[in-house]
Amino acid sequence: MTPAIEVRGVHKAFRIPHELRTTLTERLLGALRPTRYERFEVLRGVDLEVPRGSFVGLIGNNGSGKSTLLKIIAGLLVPDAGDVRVGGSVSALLELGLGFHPELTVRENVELYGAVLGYPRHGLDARVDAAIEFAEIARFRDAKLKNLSTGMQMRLAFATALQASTEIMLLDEILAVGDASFQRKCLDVFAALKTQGTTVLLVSHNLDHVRRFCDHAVLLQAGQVMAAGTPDQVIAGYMEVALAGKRVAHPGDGSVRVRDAWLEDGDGSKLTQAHSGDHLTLVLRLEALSDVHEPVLGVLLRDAHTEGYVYAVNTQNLETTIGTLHAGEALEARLEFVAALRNGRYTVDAVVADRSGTVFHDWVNEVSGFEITGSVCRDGSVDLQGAFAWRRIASPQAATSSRLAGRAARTGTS
Amino acid sequence: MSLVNAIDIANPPAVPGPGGTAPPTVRAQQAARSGYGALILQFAIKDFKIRYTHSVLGYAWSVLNPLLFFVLYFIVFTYFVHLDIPHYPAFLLLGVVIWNFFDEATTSGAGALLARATLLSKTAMPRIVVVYSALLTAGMTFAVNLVVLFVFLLFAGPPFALPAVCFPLLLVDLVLLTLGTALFLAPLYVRYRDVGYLWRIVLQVGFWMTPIIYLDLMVPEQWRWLVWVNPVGRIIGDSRRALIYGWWPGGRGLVLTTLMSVIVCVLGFSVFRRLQARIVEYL
Repeated sequence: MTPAIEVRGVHKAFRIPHELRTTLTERLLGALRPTRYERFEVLRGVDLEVPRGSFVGLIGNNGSGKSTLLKIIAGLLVPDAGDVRVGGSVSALLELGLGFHPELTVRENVELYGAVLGYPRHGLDARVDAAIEFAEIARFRDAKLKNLSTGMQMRLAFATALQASTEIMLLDEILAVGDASFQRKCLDVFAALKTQGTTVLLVSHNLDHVRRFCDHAVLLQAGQVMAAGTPDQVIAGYMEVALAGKRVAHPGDGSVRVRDAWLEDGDGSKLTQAHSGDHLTLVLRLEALSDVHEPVLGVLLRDAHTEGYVYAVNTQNLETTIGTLHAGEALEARLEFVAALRNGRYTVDAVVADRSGTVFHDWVNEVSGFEITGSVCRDGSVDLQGAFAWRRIASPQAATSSRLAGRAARTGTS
Repeated sequence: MSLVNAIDIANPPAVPGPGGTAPPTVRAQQAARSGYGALILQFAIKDFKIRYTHSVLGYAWSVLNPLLFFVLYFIVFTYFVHLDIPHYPAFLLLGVVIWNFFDEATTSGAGALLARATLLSKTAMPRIVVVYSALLTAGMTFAVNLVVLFVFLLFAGPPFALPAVCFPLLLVDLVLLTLGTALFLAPLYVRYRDVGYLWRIVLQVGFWMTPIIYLDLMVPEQWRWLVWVNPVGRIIGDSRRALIYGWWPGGRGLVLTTLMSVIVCVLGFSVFRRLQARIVEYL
């Protein structure tokens, strides 16, 4: 049986114009000169095979070419070289939405995009209704799209694409928006798609979803397929790549250098993956290149997907001091913490500054990182490892009414 | 017990199965897929709706616009400038209606790719669909205007004569010419936004250089060739001869007009086909 999607040696480069003309004269002169372009190679020889009926996850850092690859498979972009074969009808949900028209009503939009996505002629109305129903916005079917919330629009886009019931679905980060209940619904749909034998190519930063639903995973790194195989293997490879490839230049004054960093579990063995709620130790190795008086060491923990900070701490906050570091001295710092985090990938930034916090000796982004699994939380930013407990107490209403009854009885007797 | 589970109890996930119906096989699906004809029509209808929301007169504007200009030109060129042309109202209305279609259809057709940029950058449908639908929208207005024109001719114009049968052919030429022009301009417009401004100027110059308000014979002898090389001018001229004056348009002239329109149409298609593939990158 031929695969559903076959990608062979696909190259794609974009030309990014250099526009640094700020003054009018420059612009006028520039109009005569051709604009200079920089070639940015997004895909560099990608081979990919998606078997029929399989659920494949495409993972990789931002800018690794995942979305571009999806657009090429969807037929939106033309590859510079290489060959793409798609065996079957395709619907694609890319970059959060379908591009609905704000001035049309919900129903009109679904009709229009139903026509675009190729809803079958028979039962078109039923499908339009089903899409609106699924998006849970039946009440607003005659409201203009611009009056809907972003979440509702996103739900509608997903529902509309789903109703096309194509053999192949390309989904780019569809779970990034939407509330918890809609995410749950999407996950149920994934399960249903799997049983129906729909081929799905899913781009996601949520490694947990990839592990749960995908039969295969593909890791894209700098426009090339770095790994392909079972989700577990590929995700493990991704963690290594994500950690190794990303040491950024040190923007500090260079008097202290962060040399190395890693995570350890309670037994002192290095790890890149931990269970939510585990006690972890971050080990940082510093080296002073010149004498530094009481440097402040800071650690920032970031959610690798949202890139937002989830935790920030430094030696000053914790009221400890490193003391004076002399030139050539090396230091190992250990930070013990509880990984009360949600499932996902996290990165560690290390900062060495002076006491005022105005002079930076060193700042290294993504000096280390790890992945958290096993959290039961599906929403929120942390997993505080909460636990419910309950006991039954007398109903306040019952208490009030009995009190009133008592009062009435007293009034009656008086 | 997590918060999410609590929500789910209140709101059980009712999954009606994606797709609603069992997914048909490939071939069946391709056959059942609503054709692009339906899509073009959908686009044209929605365009229409979008254009006339928030306006009280709504669709009436598309008829009113050429009529108002017709009245204006009629007053200016009958009472201020004494143009002595037989059946001038019918003569003028025909010219304005045809030019109006060419103007509106090429403008919206040229801008169609940009106007639908968000959609085109997210769904892989044939790019040409949006140009067709822009033309169809302009075509609907044209059709209504033609009805107005024919009603006018019936009541206030000279009686129809046999040469009027040439008019459908001239209409076909007009559509081919307009389609070709729009297809030629649309992808260029995406690459170079100057095309939009430039085309407005061309249309404005074209309006005065085309015998719409005046008679082609009023153009001095040495400039007459400007009228002969202008396919819109040729179509308007021949339409007047056929519909208003009851003369047969010259056979050779008619062939030449058709040839010009077909060439523009083929050129438009080939340019569009060459440029459409990478157009998304420039949207």
